[in-house]
Amino acid sequence: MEKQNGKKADLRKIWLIFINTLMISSTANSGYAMIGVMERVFVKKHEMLSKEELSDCTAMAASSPGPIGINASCLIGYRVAGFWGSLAAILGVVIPPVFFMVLVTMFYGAIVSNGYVATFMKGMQAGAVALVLNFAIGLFTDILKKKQVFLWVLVAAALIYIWCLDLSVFWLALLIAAAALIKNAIMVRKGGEKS
Amino acid sequence: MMLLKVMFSFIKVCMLSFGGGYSAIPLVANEIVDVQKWMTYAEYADLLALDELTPGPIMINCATFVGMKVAGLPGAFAATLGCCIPPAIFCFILDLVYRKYREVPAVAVILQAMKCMSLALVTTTVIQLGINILFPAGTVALASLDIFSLVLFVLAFIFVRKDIVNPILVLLGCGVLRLAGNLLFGF
Repeated sequence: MEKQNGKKADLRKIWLIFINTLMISSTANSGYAMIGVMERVFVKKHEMLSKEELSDCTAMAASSPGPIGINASCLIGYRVAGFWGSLAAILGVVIPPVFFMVLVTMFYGAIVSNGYVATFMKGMQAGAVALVLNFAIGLFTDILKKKQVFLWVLVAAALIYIWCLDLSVFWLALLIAAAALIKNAIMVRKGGEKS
Repeated sequence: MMLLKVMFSFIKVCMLSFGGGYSAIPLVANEIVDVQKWMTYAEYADLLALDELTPGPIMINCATFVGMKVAGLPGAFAATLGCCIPPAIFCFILDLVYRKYREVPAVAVILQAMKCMSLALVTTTVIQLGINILFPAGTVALASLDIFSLVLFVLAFIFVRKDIVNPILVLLGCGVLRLAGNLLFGF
């Protein structure tokens, strides 16, 4: 009897995770915005996990590959209700964008061949490139703040790789990560000798 | 076969994108436009604008759009699934490690390095997209510069940089201005 009650509570949790991530994903646009709403819903409203757990999840989400929104919801779902919780969370996050994008793509051909819409889209394209440029400048100042020459060496090496070699970004990622780890190891050893 | 190819492409893109959202934009451009040639830079710029208007993570939007274009609805699902596999696997591993050690110094080092790569990639993409928008004719010359696009681009950049209004409004504003310019002055 007790076990059955536990199961029911689990199902309810999984349902809550699904329905809330679904709602969050259909309104929030970026990963960090999603995490903000998730805090309000899962920590404050439903008290399913603690604030510390959420900030752990945020840190992990930001440091693993993939969209932060998916990472975060997957981790939060897992902490709250195990495997099925994370599955429910991923489904909840993914369904709204897929639904909207499928609609948009279905009509994309018809929309773009309309002269007015094409002109409108042309205007929006200029804005979209401005947004990407803004992101680039954000990264630039972030790296600038670290005041490490080594980081700029990495940037320059990556630029040369991208512009001069016709190879996949995959190898670049491996090379850059390896270079950073080796540099770090050398620094640690040097630091150790001094002290 | 196409479905597997789309899915694998997005697994690859997803595994390489650290820091979420915009860091995926150059990776998708590299894989989808340069390597697989599934779309052009002009279409990609359209996709970026549509991304911003639709809810949810950018990468999922990209995946659905590209998947739909390449292999219809099944393609959209395959591409989206591809985006979900790496996060699911890495998050579980990281969660296990994190619970044991609390902090992993190597992760911070790798993240910093990925930021450098991301900057190089994003810069490249901005240049490619910028050329596409400012010189729609395809040749980079002062004569073929689309001045109206340049004005919109600069205005949009100022509004976004100074955080004056929501990016979605900036995009819509650009569209409205372009359309108005076209209807009133024939740009």
